[in-house]
Order: sequence, then structure tokens, then C-alpha cells
Amino acid sequence: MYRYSFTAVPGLRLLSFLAVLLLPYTGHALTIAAANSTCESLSVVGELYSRQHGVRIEYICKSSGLLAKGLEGKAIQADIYLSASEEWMEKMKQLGLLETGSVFAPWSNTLVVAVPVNSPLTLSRWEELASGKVQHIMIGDPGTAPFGRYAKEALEASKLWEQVRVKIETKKHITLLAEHLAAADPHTVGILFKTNLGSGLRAVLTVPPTLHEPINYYIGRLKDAAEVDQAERFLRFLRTEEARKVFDDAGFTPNSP
Amino acid sequence: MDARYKSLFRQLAVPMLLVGLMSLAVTTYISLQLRESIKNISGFAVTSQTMIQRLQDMDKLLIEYRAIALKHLAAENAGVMQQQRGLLELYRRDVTEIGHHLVIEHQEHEDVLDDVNKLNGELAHYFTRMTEVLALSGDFEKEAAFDSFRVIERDLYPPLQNTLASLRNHAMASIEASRTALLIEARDNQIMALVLGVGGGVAVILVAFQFTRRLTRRLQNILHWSDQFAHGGDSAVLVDRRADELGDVATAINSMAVRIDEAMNELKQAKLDAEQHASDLRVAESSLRNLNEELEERVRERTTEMTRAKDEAEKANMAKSEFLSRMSHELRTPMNAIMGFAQLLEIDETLNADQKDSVDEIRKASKHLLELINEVLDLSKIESGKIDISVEPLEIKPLLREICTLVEPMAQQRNITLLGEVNDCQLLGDRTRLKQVLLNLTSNAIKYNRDGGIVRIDTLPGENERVRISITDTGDGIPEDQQSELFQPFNRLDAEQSAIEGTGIGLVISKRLIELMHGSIGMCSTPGEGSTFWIELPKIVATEFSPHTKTSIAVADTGLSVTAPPGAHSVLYIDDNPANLRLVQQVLARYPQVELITAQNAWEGVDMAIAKRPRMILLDINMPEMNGYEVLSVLRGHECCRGTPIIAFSAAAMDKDIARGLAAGFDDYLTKPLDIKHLMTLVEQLELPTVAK
Repeated sequence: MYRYSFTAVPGLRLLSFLAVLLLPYTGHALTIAAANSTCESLSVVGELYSRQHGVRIEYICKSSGLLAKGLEGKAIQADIYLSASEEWMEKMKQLGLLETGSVFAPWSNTLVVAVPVNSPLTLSRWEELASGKVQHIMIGDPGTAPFGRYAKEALEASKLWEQVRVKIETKKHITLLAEHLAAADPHTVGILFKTNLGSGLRAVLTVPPTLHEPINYYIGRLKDAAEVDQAERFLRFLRTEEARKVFDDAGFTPNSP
Repeated sequence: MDARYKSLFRQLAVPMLLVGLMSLAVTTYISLQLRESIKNISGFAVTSQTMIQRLQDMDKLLIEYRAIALKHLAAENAGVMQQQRGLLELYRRDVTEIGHHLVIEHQEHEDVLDDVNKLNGELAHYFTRMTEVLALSGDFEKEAAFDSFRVIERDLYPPLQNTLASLRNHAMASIEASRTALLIEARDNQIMALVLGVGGGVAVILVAFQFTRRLTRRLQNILHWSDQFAHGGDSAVLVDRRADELGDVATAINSMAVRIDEAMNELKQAKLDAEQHASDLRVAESSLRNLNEELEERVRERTTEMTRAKDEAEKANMAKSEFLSRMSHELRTPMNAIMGFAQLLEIDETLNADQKDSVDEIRKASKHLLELINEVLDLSKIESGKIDISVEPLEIKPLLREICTLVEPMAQQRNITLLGEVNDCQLLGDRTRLKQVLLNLTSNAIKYNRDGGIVRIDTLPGENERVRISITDTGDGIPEDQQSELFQPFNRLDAEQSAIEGTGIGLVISKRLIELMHGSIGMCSTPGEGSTFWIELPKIVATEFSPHTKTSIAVADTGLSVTAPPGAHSVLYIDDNPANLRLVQQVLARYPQVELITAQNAWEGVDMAIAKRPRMILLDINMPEMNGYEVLSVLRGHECCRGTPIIAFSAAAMDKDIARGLAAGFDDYLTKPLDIKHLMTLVEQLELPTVAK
């Protein structure tokens, strides 16, 4: 008995201390699990919303598939889920994790072929990816990252996939790909969303939109959201002109409300 | 030879050989069979061992395959995946090949073959599914690939492992079974060998038993017959009709019996004659034995007598030596006085010519007597083994020159010429003792020479690395029959009647001394022409000899010439013997500037030395309360006498005594009888102021 109390008491004390510290955040923050490509613009909108409603917003930025798996396995707790592909959103709906009525597609995106900012490489046609000019092609992991899925879809649709497959290198999420591509050699290209080029990359070609499904973003409230009202209010705020403008400026194409 | 004749050897050997051949045949058959079955069993064990090895290889390859496949699934780069794909293909091929080997190797083992076929089927299925997974992974459909892989790992891999394990167990079991089979086979064989061995042994014993029994029976028959024959039974014919060696023996015995009968008759007559002879002989032998016993008894008695006589003679000889030794000591003391006073008289200028002659006679006689005493002492010391001989390298030339100098005056007296050829060489000997011997021989050569004769001293090479020193005189020579007695003690031949002085033991001493130095001594002589005495000693061959320079005992080096405080001119003499005191007194009376102080015992002497501070101290060694050495250390310890010359004065006159004295700290050593001249030299060296007499 003596030994038990001796070891257990400090542990308990530490736990209660942490609980006190975390209390304000767990209680009043809105948590959004968002696809990487949207995080930057979403935080701008979130800032606007926070200022108006006095609510602090937390973001969990990962690839859409990873977020979906995390939410499914309860590894992540969030109020809102933002996916970069319809596929993952459908999956979440099927799993019954989303409030189906709350789901909508606020914006769409464009896929581009990009190179490092100072690379001399130029491409005039999509088919040139199969030529000797391009030796490496970075795409997102088709399994988890929608921008990779769209890229593979486009290459398959144009019958280029079998030819270029040996040049493919996949990355888990879009920010990682952008970083690696910015440091790559002049014979390397990457396929990613127009919205995620950043300062290190420049687009050399827009992927013909006919080659892949429309790139719509889907957002919805999770069923087990802790802050249901705040989440509903934030989703409504996204439909406002003010919020749409932020995404428009960032390169997204706002869908008609 | 008779066809029915069967020798004993054949009777025994043939059945034995048959038994042996049969055992050999059976043993060979069994061992061949054993070899065959061991070959089978071990072949099976080897196959099983190979299978275990193959299964292990397969298992290892599969583990590697899965690890690489997982890497492939995780890879993000097409090039990397391509490499991994190649590797995986190789592994797949290896595993499949092992499967084929197993099929071929176990074609005949139906129980195993089922399992092997099942394993190959499972492997084929596994690889087909894995190829699909790898295709998905290569197409960057990692999610789907992972999902399929998981399914394969869950559904296909465990049964595969089970089949592998079951095959392995099967192989292990068959190895174990082979081992057991081998053990059983070995045990069976052991039993068989035992049975065979015992059976063969029993058969051999039976054969031997039967043979021996028959043989014994026949031998008994012969024996029984012989017995009867020996005891004079009827001489019926011995019957043994079998055609073999024993049969031959029987025939031979029969013919012998006839011959014996004849011989017996002759013998009986001879025996009667012999018995007569024997009784005569017995009588003669008995009387001879008695005579012999008597003789033996007498020999024994004589031996005992002789032993007793020899013991007595030896005892007497010992007693003689001891007596001589003691007597000599006793004699030396009075001799001191006689010689001392004679010397004093000699230098007394008041004596007339007749008196001087008389004194000379006294001195000469006493000198001779002293020599005799000394030599007797020497001999007894040598005989009792109390003499020390220290052998060292010696230069021969200076030694002989010294001898010549010593004997020169003696030779001149008789007008004898000393000649000789002496070579430079070195020999091993005791310097003092060798000198003594040479002096003895040389003085003999002069003494027993004719007036105006010649003495030759030569060195010659001797035998065995030795040097011979020969001393030849031109005297009368020694007759051959007397030569052998020369080296016996107290045998002066016929010299007793002559006027020549001599002790008669000089040659004996010389012989003993030379022998102690590992040398030899000898002589030859021609009567009427002269004699040659020679000694031989070991020579030193090495040329780089550095002579042992002994510290010379020169009086001048001992610091006697100390400057004395003025007015102190006394000489202290400490001795318990009044005769010696008076002698010294008379010597010192010649020096008026010297005052002699005397002390009769050691303590008195020490007191006087401290009180009077003498210029010189004469100190007797042998005193009752405290000996000279003790007095010396007392005196040296006191400031009175640290620089004072202290002279030992002792009857102990051996070289080692003198050396001991000098080593102890005496400035010089005077021997008794007193050498007056030596004492006078010492006094004169004190450099005392001259005072008119």
C-alpha cells in the first residue's frame, strides 16, 4: 500500500495539472481537419471568423486520405472535415462519420505541371512528359493524396502512364512535394494544385481539365463534433462573399453558392 | 606312409579348423548384412538431413522475400521499385527451385511426397498473389497493394509455414528413427556376435576336451605299464595299436624294455663292484675333510693375530708421532735459551779464541738440534694431515737462484762448484714448501759430495706437462740395495758413522710435501760416480701468467721510523717467560740509550704501556691471562700506543702464524728462538740518538 501511493500520487498530480491547462482550449476551440492544399487559405478565413465570433480555431493539416483514416480510427478529434477529393468524402459518408446534410463543395482547383523557379525547362504540350526532356515526375501518392490521384488519372486517360511510370516518384502530401520539387534538378517536374506553387515553383503547363474528374473540395460537419453550433456557423461563413474572395485570391475557383 | 596313420596334430587340428571356419563364415555373413542395413539407414538419414537443410533455406528465402516485398510496398520511386522487383523475382525462382529439388529427391517417399506437393502448390499460389500485389504497388496503388498483402499474410502465409513445419518434423522424425534403427541393429549384432563367440568357444572346448581325455587315457595306459615295468612286474608287451605318435611311442618303449632287461643284468654286477669302491672312498674323504677343517682354523687364527698386530703397529705409530710432536715442542723451549745465549756469547768481544770455538760448537750443535726438532715437527704434522699446502703458480728461475744464494756459503766451505741449466718456466707448487724441499735436496747434494766436487741443478721437461728439477752431485753414490730405503724416516743409511750432519728425515718430508703438491720425487745413483735426485711438478703452459705478488714483509714499510717525543727511549717487553726476558735484556744492553721495561704478565704490560709511553713494544703471543692478540687490540685502542710499533714475539713460527700476526696489526713478527740480528735491526730503525758507550 505504501509503495502504491508513493508512485501513483505524483502521476495523478501531473495529470490534473495538464487538465487545468488544457481546459480553455478543449472547451471553446473549433477544430478543423483540412486537406494540406487548403490550409493556408483556410487559416486566413479562420482568422476573419475568429475576429468576428471570438472563437479560436485549430487546424489539423494532412493529406485527405490520412485525415479520413485518422478520424475513422479516432486518432484525430475534429469538428469539421475538409477533403480535397470526392472519393474520401464519399468514404467518410459511407462510414457514417459525417452529417450528410452539411456536406457541400465550396471551391474547385486546377492541376498544373510545375518546375523549380529557376529551371530552364519549358513544356508546350502535355505529351512532352513522355519525352527525354523530363526524367523525373513527382506526383502525390495516388492512394492517399487526391492531387496524386487526379495526376495519375490524367496520365492514364492520355495513355501516357505506362510510358512515364518509370519516371514517377510519389510524395505523401502536397507541401512535401512542393518542397522537394523546389530543390530538384532541371529534368524534374511535378504535378500539383495551382494553389500550392509557393515561391519556389513556377507552372509550365496546365493539366487539361478534361483528362480528370473535376477537382472539387468537399467540407462537412463531423457527427461527433464537440462544437456543433460553432461548426455549423463556420460552414455558413464559408459561403459568404468575404470568405469566397479569400479562396478566389489564392487561386481556387469558388463554386456557385 | 600308412594311409591309416593319423598324427595327433591332425586329430586335434582338423575338428578345430572346422569349427573356426564355420564361425568365420557365419560372422562374415552377419557383418555383410549389417553393413547393407547400415548403408540403407544412413542413406535415409542423409536424405532427411538434406531435406531439413532445404527447408531451412526455403524458410530463410521466404523471410527475405517478404522483407523486400514490404520495402517495395513502401517505396515511392519507380527506379527503386524496379530493382526490388528484380531481386524478388530471383528469390521467387530460388524458392521454387528448392521445391522442385524436394520433389525429385523424395520421389520414392510417398508419405513425404504428398506434403512436398502440397507445399509446392501453396508456394505457387502465394507467389501468384504476391505478384499481383507487387503489380499494384508498382502502379503506385499502394493502398490496394497493402490491403492485398495483408490478406495474403493472413490467409496464405500461415498454412505455408505449417506445411514447412510438418515437413521439417517429418524429416526430424525420420532421422530419429534412423538413429534408433541403427542402435537396434548394433545391439542385435552384438548379441549375435556374443552367441557366435560363446558357441564357437564351447565347440572348441568340447573338441579339446574330448581329444585330451582320449590322449590322457592312452598316456595313463603307458604310464601304468611303465610303472609295472619299473617295479619289476612281468614284462608283458605294452599294447597301443593306434597308428599315431603314441602308437609309435608304445612300440619304442617295447623295444627299449627288452634292451633295459639286458642292461639291468649287467648293471647288477657293476653295482656290486661299485659299492665296494664307494665304501673305500668314503673313508678317504672323511679324513681329508678333517684335515681341511684343521687348516682353515689355523688360517683364521693367524689372520686374527695379524690384524691385531697391525692395529697395534698403527697405534704405536700414532703414539710415536704424537710423542715426537709433543717432545719437539718441549724441546724447542729450552733450545731457545741455549741458542740465544750462545749467540750472545758469539758477539761478545771479550771471549778468547778457544771459548769462541766452544761457543761456535754449542751454536752449531743446537742449530742442528733445532733443525731436527723442526723437521720432526714437520713430519708429524704432515702425517697427521695438519699441514696447509697452498698451490700457486711459481717462477722457477728466481726460486732456484734464491736456493743457490742460500747454499752458496755452504758450498764454498767445501770448495764445491754449483752449476746448472735452468729454463724460464712456471710450475704449480707451494712456494715455502717447495723451497724447503729444494733446499733439503741441494744441501744434501753438498753435504754428501766430495770436497771440490760439483753440484748441478737442471730443469728438464718431464712427462705429462710436468717440469723436472734434478740435482746431481759427484759424491760416493748410493748402492742399489739401499736406494729403496732412502725415503724411510730416520734412515741415514750409513751416514751415522760419518761426520756429516743430518736428521734423517729430510727426504721423507720432501717426499710427502712433493706428493701433497701433486708432484713426484725420485732418484738414481751410480756408486762411485754420484747421485741424481729429482722432483717433478705440474707445469703451467699459459704464457700470460701474472705472478701473484705477495705483500712483502719489509720492516722499512711498516712505519717503524716514527719520530718520538724527545726523552722517551724506552722499549717495553711483555712476556711471562723469564728466560726470554733475560735474553732480550742482554740484547738491548748493547744500546745504552734504550731503557728496557719489562712486564711479567699482560695486565702489567698494558699498565706500563699507558704509564711509560714506550718507543716500541715487544709482545709475547702465548700468555696465560690474556693472549698477545687481545693485548694488541687493547693497546691499539688506547691513545698511548696507536702509533707505537708493536712487535709480536712468539714460538708459533709457521708462515700462517706470521701472516695472521701481521694481519692482526703487529708491525713485525719475531719468532722464537730469537733472531737477535732481526731484533737489533728493529731497534736501530728507531733512529735513537747515539750515545757513547
